[in-house]
Amino acid sequence: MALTLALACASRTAAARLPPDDERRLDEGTALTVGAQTVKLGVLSFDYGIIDRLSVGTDPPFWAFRVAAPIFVPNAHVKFAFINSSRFWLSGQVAFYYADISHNGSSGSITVIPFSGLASVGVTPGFWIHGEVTYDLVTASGAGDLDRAAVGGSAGARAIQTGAILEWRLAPVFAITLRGRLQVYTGRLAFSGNGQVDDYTSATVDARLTPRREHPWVVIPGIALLWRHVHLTAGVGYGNVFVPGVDIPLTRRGWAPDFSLAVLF
Amino acid sequence: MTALVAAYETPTAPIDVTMLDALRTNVQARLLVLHLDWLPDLVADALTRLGSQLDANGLSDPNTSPPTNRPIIDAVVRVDRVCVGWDDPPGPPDATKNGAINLTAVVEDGRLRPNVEALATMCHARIQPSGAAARGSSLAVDGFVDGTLDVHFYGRVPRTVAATDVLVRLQAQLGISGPTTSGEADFRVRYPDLDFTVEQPGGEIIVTISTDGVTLQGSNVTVQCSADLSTCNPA
Repeated sequence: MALTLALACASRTAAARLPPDDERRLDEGTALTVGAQTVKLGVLSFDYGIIDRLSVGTDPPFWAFRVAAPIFVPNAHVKFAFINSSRFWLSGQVAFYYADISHNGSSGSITVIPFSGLASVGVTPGFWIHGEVTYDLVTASGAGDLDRAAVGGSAGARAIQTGAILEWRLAPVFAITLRGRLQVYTGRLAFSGNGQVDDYTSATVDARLTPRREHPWVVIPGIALLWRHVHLTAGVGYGNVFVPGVDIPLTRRGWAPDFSLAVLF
Repeated sequence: MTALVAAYETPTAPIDVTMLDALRTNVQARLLVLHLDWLPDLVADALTRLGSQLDANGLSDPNTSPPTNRPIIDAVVRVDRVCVGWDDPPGPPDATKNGAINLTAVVEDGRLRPNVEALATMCHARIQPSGAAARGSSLAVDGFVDGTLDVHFYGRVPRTVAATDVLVRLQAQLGISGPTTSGEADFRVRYPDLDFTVEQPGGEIIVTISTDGVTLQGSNVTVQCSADLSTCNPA
């Protein structure tokens, strides 16, 4: 009872000091943007807010992927807020990922373009609900290493996903979060292509990849620490890990971590 | 193909050891038709290209379980190989003159089907024989094949000719730089050994050519022969 009262008071106090358009926005997986003239360097995303409504960025983990595997994945994303009122944000985000899966004389590539619609609603000044619907458009060509098209068991198949974040801001820099994500539709990824193996030999591959789990999901309770120049989110939940950015779910279901650290200036 | 695979498991005809001379003649006649001194090498070489394509595309071999942490792959893999020709001049290969072999393999639920179809179209190939049927000869053979081949894999798709273990059934025209014969034939390649069947009263016997000689396996007895079939004795 005392704890509830304390949390309620903290929330009310925090809410009074929490305009949603300040620099302590929870901008990853929500409709909120990083903010005008703001640079964000994070482990999951580099972003720059051109204006308050518009930000552009890239996901460094995919560039760094090159170090561990012979796959080159250039990528970029842009987010635009159609509505950015004090209690309601409505945004669209488009990302682009290109993976070269050429191998042993066979050429192939995959392009993943997630289209996301995001809405953030401030139910109370201290309690926000962030919703998301994403359509992953995947195109593939060539006859590269089909296995490489998979990330931990899931092909980059066309998919529709829904996600939600409940954000309870207990203090200006501190929030409790509950993240959930569900892949409601899983399509199959078709490959077609050919390659010259040697002077005498050519090969043609027509393939279809089917993910082993059609409706992966995850639920992750966590926290968010949103200082002015440092944003940290962390949590541990259960379900399928969704690779940040492309949101491709891994086949294995189990403990699912969530971590993001970013510096803003 | 299933019935043929079974036929190579166990001989169904007995061998009459009092009639070995006649059987030897039958076996030698069959050998002339099968062209086992060079044809298995040609088939095995084409199959190794398919094997490399499986590796290149991360596909699983027959009789192996695909990894459960990967997506399920269904695929059709086609390998087109221009034959090397009988003279192999410098420059790019001439598919029109040399002919070609086309292999079509189907991957179902992540696993290659154990049977593969191949089409040889006017394939002219100079082959360096390496199997037991070549009997150590290092002379290149100008082989010709035109027809269809069905291949059954007992294990993995070979990555090298020496790792080949397949059953081949062909309906084709075969020959070496001159006259050709046409018809149906089948043989098993277990490098360097080769098996084929010979019809006898009551069924078929299995003939194995190995580096040790020739073995005739009947349902009642096994007969060991010299490499040139000049002498045969029950084992």
